[in-house]
Amino acid sequence: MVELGFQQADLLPLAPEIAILGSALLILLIDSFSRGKHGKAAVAIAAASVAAAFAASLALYGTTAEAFGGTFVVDGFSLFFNVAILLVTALVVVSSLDYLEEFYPEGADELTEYVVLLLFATAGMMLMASSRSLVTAFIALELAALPSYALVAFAKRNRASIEGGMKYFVLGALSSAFLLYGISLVYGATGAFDFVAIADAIAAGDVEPGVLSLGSLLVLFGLAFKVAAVPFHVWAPDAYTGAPTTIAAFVSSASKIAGFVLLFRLFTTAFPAEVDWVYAAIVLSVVTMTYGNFAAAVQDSVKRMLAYSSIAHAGYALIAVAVFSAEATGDSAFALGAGMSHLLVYGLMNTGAFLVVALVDDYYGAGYTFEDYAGLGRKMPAVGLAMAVFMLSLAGLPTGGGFVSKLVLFAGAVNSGFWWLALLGGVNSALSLYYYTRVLKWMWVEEAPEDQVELDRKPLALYASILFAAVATVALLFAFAPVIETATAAAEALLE
Amino acid sequence: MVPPSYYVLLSALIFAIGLYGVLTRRNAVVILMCVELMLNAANLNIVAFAAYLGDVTGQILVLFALAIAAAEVAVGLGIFILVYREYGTVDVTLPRGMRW
Amino acid sequence: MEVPWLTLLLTVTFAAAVATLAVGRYVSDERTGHVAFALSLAPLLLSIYIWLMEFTADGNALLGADNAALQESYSWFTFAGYEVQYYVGVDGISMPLVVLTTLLASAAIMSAWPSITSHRKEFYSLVLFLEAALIGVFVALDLFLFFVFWEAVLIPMYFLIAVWGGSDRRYAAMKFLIYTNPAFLVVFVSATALIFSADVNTLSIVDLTAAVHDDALTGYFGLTPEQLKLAAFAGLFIGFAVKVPVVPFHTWLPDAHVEAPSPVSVLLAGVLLKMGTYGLLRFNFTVLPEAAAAVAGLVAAVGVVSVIYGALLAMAQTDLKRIVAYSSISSMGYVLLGLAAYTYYSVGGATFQMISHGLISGLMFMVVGVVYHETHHRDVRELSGLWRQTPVAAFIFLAAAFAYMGLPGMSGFAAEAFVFIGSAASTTIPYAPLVTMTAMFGIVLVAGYLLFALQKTLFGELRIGEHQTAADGGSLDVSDVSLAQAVPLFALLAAIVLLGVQPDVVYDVIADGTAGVVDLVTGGDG
Repeated sequence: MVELGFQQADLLPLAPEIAILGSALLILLIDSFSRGKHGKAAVAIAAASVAAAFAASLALYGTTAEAFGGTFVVDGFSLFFNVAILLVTALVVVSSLDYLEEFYPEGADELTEYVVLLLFATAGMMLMASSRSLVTAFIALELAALPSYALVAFAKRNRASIEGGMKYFVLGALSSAFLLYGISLVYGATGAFDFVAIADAIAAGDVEPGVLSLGSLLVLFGLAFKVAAVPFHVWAPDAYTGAPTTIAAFVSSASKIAGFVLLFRLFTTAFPAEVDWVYAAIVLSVVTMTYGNFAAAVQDSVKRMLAYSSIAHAGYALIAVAVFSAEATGDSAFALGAGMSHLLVYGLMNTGAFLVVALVDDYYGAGYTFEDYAGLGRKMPAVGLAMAVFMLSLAGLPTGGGFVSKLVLFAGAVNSGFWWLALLGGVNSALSLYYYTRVLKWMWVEEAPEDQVELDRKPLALYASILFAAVATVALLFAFAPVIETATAAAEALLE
Repeated sequence: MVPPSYYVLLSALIFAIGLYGVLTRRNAVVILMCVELMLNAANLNIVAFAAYLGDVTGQILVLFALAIAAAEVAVGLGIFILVYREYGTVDVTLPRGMRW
Repeated sequence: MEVPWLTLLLTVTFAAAVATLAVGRYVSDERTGHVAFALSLAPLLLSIYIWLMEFTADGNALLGADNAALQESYSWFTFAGYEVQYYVGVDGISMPLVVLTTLLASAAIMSAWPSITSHRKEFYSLVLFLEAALIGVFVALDLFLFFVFWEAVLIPMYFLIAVWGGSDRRYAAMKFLIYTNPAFLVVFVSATALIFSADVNTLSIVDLTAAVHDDALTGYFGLTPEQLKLAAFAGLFIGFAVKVPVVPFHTWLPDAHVEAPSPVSVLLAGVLLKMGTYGLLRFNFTVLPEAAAAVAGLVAAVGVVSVIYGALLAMAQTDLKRIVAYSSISSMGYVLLGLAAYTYYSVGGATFQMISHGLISGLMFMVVGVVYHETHHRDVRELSGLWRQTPVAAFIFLAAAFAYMGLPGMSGFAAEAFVFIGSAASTTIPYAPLVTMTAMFGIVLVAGYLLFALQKTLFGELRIGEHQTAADGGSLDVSDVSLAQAVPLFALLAAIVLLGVQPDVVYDVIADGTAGVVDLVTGGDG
C-alpha cells in the first residue's frame, strides 16, 4: 500500500516547482481581480519566480529527497534538468516582452495568459524530471503538454500558428493515448507504477514478458513523440515553424529536454537492460539524426531548418539512451552524463538560435528565408556574432559548449564499444555543417540588398536574451567541468 | 468473476477502433473523440488490472486520466474553434500552409 | 617566477586578433593592415624569443614526461575518469612549426595590404585568429585540447575563403569544411578508442604514448591490442591524410587554393597542410610505431603515388595557383615517404621538409598573388614576358621555383636530400632504394612543369591577356612589387636561402626531436 500522507518537511525539496506554480497562480489571481492588464508585471513576476526556482535548484543540489510516497524524487539528476529547463524558460520569458508586442500585437493584451501558460508548462517539465512513478510522470507530461498546445496556437489570427497548434494537438493527444495504454500494460504486467517497484517485479521474474515488452515499447513510442524522434516527429516541423518563434524555442528546447529526462529515468530505473528495447533506441537514434540532418539541409526557411536541426539533435541525445541501455561495459554512466550535458548546452544554443530568428524574421520582419538574412551580420554585428556562435556550436565546432558536449557524447559511445554509432553521429554532424554555415554564409558573406528593412529599433529584452545565451554557450566551452562532472555524478547515482 | 483477459481483449479492441478512427477520419472533432476512445481503452485496462491486483493506485491514475482527458478536450476544442474560424471547416487535411 | 610562455604566446596572438577588430573601428581602412601587421609582430617576435632564449628541449615531447620544454598544465574537466587538461609544451618538432606559423602569418598580413580591399579589419582579425589556433595545434599536448585547436582552425579558414575568395568561393569554402570535418571525426573516434583501451587517467598524449609503448593496452570490444593498434593507425592515417592531403583525398585542396585570396593560400599551403603531416608524425608514427613500421611499405607507396600523381596533375594545369597547389600535394608526398622510412635522416628530413615547404609554398603563393593583383590573370597562357616589366617579382618567382625544384643552396634541396638519403637506407620499406628512386623522379616532373610555367610567363614578348606590346620595349600598365610587398617576399626568400645554406640552424633542433621516434622502431641504429 502506498503511503500518501506527507509532512511539511517534504515540501522543501519541491521549492522550485512550488515557486513556479505559485507565481503562475498569483498572476492568474492578479489578472482576475484587477481591471487593467498587467502583462509587464506578469513577466516580472515570472522572471523572478524562474530566478527563485533556479536558485532553489542550485541550493538544493546535493540533497536527495522523496515525496508523495516515493512517486516524486529530488536528486542530482532532477535538479540538473531543472537548471537546464529553467535556463530556457528564463530566456523565453524575458524575450517575450519585446516579441509578443511586435509579432502579435493583439496578443500583447494577453501577455498574462501567455506567461501563465509558459509557467505551467515549465512546472510540468520540472515535475517530469522528478517523477519516479508512471502516475506522476503521466500527469506531469500532460501538465507540460496542454499549455504547450495552447502556446503553439497562441497567435490566433495567424494561419501557420493555428495549423501548427492543431497538428501538435492531434498528434500529441494520440501519443498520450499510446503512452497511457503502454502504462496500463506495464501496470498489468508488473502490478506497479513506481519505477523501482517495476524494476523489482521484473527482477523477480514475476511478469508477463510479452505484455511488458509491448507496454514498455508503447511507453517508449509515447516519449519518442515528446522528443520528436523520427518517425514520431511528423508534428514537430510544422509545430515549430507555425508557433510564435519564442514558443518554438521553448517547445523545441525545454520540452525536448523534459522528454529526455523521463526517457532517461524510466529506462535506467524502471526497465533495466533485460527488456529488449536497446535496438529500438539504436534504430531511433540513427534514423532520427540522419533524417533530421537531411531534411534540414533542403529547407528554404531558417526557422524550419532549425526545426529539423532540433530533430537531429534528439538523435544525438538518443545515442546516450542506446549506449547506457546496452550496458556494454558498465561505463554507461559516462554516456548518460554526456547526453545530459549535451541537452543542457543544446537548450542554450537552440533557444538562442530561435531567438535570433524571432528577432530577424518576426520582430524586424526581414523575412524567413536564408536569402533574407543577407548581410545582416554586418548590420548588427552582436547578433551576427551570437548567431555564429550558436550555429557553429550546434554543428560541433569549438565556438561553444556544443563542441565539447558533442565530442564527449561521442566519446561516451566509443567508450562503451559503440564506435560505429559515434562515427555515424560524426558523419551526421559533419553534414549538419552544410546547413548551419549556410545561415552564416548569408549573414556574413553576402551583401545586404538595397531594399532591406530598416533595423533601427533595438528590442532590449530580446537582445539581452540572445546575448546571454551566446555568452553562456561560449562560457560552457571553457567552464565545462561543472556541467559534465555534475551530470556524470547524477548519472552514476541514477544507475546504481 | 470475469477473467482479466476479457477486459484486456475488450480494451485492445476499443483501442484499435479508436486508432482506426484517428487514422481514417478527417474531421478534427471525430478524431478527438477517437483519441478519447483510446484513452478510455487504457483506462479500462488499468481499472481491470487494479481490480485484479487489488491495488488502489490504478484507480487513482484513472481518476487523474479522466480529468486530464477533460482538460485535453477543452484545449483541443479551443484550437479547433480557431481552425474553424480561419478555414470554415475542421477538416484536418485542409490546413496545409507548410510543406513537409 | 616561471613565465607561462606558451600561454602568453597564445594570449598575445588572440589579443592581437581582438585588438585588430577593436582598433579597426578607429583607424582608416588603409591603416588597418598596418595596424594588424604591427600587432602580428608581437607573436612573431615572442615566438622567436621563446625559441632562442627559453626553448631547451632536446627530446621528443611524447616520449618522456619531461622532454617537452615550457610545459604548462591545468585541469579542465574530468570525464569518464579521464582528466582533460589544458596541457601545452614544445619540442624540436613543434617549436620550428610555431615560428613558421607566426612568420608566415605576419608575411601573409603584409602581403594582403594591396589585395584585400573590403572588410579589412575582419580579414586581418580572422588571420590572427587562425594564427592563434594554428599555434595551439602545435603546442597542445592534451588530446582534447589538440582537437579543440584543430577544429578551431576551420572556423576562420571558412570565412577567409568564403568572404574574400574568388568567384566560386562559397563552394570551395564549403568543400573545405565538408572534407576536413569528417576526417577529424575519424581521427577523434580512433584516438578515443585508443585512449579508452589504454591504461591512462588523463587525455595527455604523452601518457597515451607511454601506455601504448608499454603495451598497457587492453583490447577494444573484440579487437586484440595488436588489431586495435592497426585499426587506430588506419583511422588516424585516413583522417590526417585528408588534411595533408594525400592522393586520393586531395580534391578539396585545389579548389580551396584557387578560390582563397593569395594571403590565405599562403597560410593554407604553408601551415595548414602541415597540420596533417604533424598529426601523422605525432600520432601514427610516434604513438603507434609498431603499426607504422608494419605498414611502412604501404605508406611509402601512398607517399610516392602522391609525389608522382600530384606532379602529373600539376603538369596538366595552366592556372598558376593550381600548379602550386598540386605541387604541394607532390611535396607532401616526400614527407610521407620520409616518415615511413624511419631513419634519422628521413624523419628529420621529412620534418625539415614541412618547414621548408611551408616557406617555399608561402613565397610561391605570395608572388603569384602579386602577379595576379597586378595583371588580373593567373593563367600561364594569358601571360608572357613579365620579366620586362616586373623584374623583381619575376626574380622572386624564379627563385621560389628553383627552391621548389630543389636547387642546391635552397632549403628545398636540403630537405629532399635528407629525405632521399634517409629513405634509401630504410629498413622498414621494402625495396627502399627503388622506392626512393621513383620518388626522386618527381623532382624531374616538378622541374618540368615549373620551368614550363616560368618560361611561358616570364619570358618572351610582354603580353597580358588580350593586351600585347610590340617586342621593341613598349609597356603595359603593370607595376612591379612595391617596397611594402617586397619586404615579406625577401624575408621568406632569405629564410629559404638560410635554411639551404645552413640547414643545421633548424635541422639540429628537429633531429633532437625526431631521433627518439626513429629509435622506437630501429632500436637506436637507424
